[in-house]
Amino acid sequence: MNAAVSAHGIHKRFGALDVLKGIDLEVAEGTTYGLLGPSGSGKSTLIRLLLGLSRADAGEVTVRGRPMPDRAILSEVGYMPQAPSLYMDLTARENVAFFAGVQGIRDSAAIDRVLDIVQLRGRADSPLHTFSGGMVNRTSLACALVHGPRLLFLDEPTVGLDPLLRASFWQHFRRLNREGVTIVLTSHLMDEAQNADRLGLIRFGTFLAEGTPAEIVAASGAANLGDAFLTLAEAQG
Amino acid sequence: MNLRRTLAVARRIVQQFRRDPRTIAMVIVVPIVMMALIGYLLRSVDPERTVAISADVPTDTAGIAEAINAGGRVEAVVLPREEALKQLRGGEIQAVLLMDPGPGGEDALTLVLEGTDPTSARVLDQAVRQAFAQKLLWAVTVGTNIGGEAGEGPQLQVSYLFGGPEYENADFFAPALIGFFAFFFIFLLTAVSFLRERTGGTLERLMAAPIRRGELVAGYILGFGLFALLQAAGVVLVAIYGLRIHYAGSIGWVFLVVFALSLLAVSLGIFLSAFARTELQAIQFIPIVLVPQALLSGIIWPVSSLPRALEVTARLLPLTHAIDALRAVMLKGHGFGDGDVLWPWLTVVAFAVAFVALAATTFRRESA
Ligand SMILES: Nc1ncnc2c1ncn2[C@@H]1O[C@H](COP(=O)(O)OP(=O)(O)O)[C@@H](O)[C@H]1O
Ligand SMILES: [Mg+2]
Repeated sequence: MNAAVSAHGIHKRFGALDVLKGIDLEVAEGTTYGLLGPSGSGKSTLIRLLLGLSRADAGEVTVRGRPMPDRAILSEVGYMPQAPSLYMDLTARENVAFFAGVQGIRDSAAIDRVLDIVQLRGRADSPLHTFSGGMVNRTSLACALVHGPRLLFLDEPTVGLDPLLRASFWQHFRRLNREGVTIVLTSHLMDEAQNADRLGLIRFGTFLAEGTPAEIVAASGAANLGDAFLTLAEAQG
Repeated sequence: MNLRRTLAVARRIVQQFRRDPRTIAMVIVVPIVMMALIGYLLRSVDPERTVAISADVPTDTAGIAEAINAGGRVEAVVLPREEALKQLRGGEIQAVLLMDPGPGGEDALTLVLEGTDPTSARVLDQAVRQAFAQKLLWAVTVGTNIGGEAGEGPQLQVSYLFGGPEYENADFFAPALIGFFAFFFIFLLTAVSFLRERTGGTLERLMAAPIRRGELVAGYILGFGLFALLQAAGVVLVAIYGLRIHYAGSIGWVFLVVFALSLLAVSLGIFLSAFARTELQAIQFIPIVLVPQALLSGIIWPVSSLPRALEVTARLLPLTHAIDALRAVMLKGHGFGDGDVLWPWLTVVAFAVAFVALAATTFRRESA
């Protein structure tokens, strides 16, 4: 069976800046893959490459067996960018309905369903400029989910969320995985990254380690993921 | 082409408008007020201009005064010389016709003009010359002397190929203003709105959805085109029922031209938004893109009267052609069966299509 996402030998430069220096990864269908690393390490750049929003200088990406970029596959893909990227003058419902519409979907039941998932049903008709940062982020996630994608790219989906809401998001990610949805997400929080099936620890555009959380902790000889990252980062220099 | 995706974009633009009454006012109300104001100003009566004929002029002073008054634009009175000069200096009258020593030293008929307002001076000069020419004509053709009655003499018949004597400046400007407003406001709004789409990350989000670039541009054209048509409807209604402009032919064609213009304005706005990083920079398109077109497109000065280089430039500006088409529709009563509507309209559409193509190159997922 094809991997949901596979990337080989990805290199990306911005002018003199070498941002990604040879990334390889495989994400199995129905699993959650976490890209974990400090700010500026290249996580968002990698996500945009996997989506076909920008082109790698070297290397290939395939998504669900199709070489990227490929417009047709995008209807099976949901993307939540790191910045909210929504229309602040519109309501939560209007934003979600719009992103459903650009997928060619007009389905108010689906819109209500994702608003429930992000627990915004009660505020759905308020404009986003009256929302807190966390609420805007939840709206953004709803927009990425509304068309029922088989593959989700979530760039720091839990930033600005309180611990309760973060836990409920992870529960939902797990439920999506059981339904066969594949998730690639980024985070800079070690503790929540434990929840992913596989992790890529990224720093300065290369993987310090790649594998299941348990494999990474064991290989580094540290007690937990946070310490593992520190140990591996020190080894990198 | 997926209509649903295009309509989603158009609907969103309408929703954003609805939340922004100030912008609605700018697009719909401001052009109506400006149209009404400009129309009113163009209508306002000539200022009063008076020429005094010095009583010592050795000819039929009353007859000349009558001839000048018959012209209608200037009032003529007969006054004693000193009184006339006093009133001229005091600004109560604007010209005096009197006897003064000429270059040869002998007294000659002289027109003294107040002179600070060149338009006034020209009008007075012409009115007086015309009165003299008329009296001379009577003298020759009717055989009377220069003292003949005003209103006598041969009658000139006047006929109009288009319009008629009732046509006024306001009628000439109205079509051009309808075109200019549609272009100006829709261009500016699209540029700012698409700039927000670029800088706010929503464009990137759209590029991660299966919407085609053409569908996105078409959605913008539909959404903003709707407001362009509403605006044109408002301006046309004010012009026809408020200002009671004279027009010939079908107003329906006006909307077809306005739609072509909004096509152009939207695609140009999307294209140029790629060259601005902030909304302030988008506002800088007004002097770069809009003012040259406002000056050169024939709104005020007919394109054919421009110096050669400027005339060529004007022909390269799409707004020139749109205004040509609008004037042919409204002043000549022509329609799409006539070359002077069809060709300019097609030219505008061709410009628009070119800009749609250019606009679509300014955003891409790095794929087809
Ligand atoms: N469009 C761009 N042009 C130039 N540099 C960029 C661009 N996008 C990202 N970078 C640089 O690439 C590096 C990685 O950025 P990013 O992928 O956003 O990191 P992360 O998401 O891990 O915080 C940063 O140094 C950033 O400045
Ligand atoms: Mg990032």
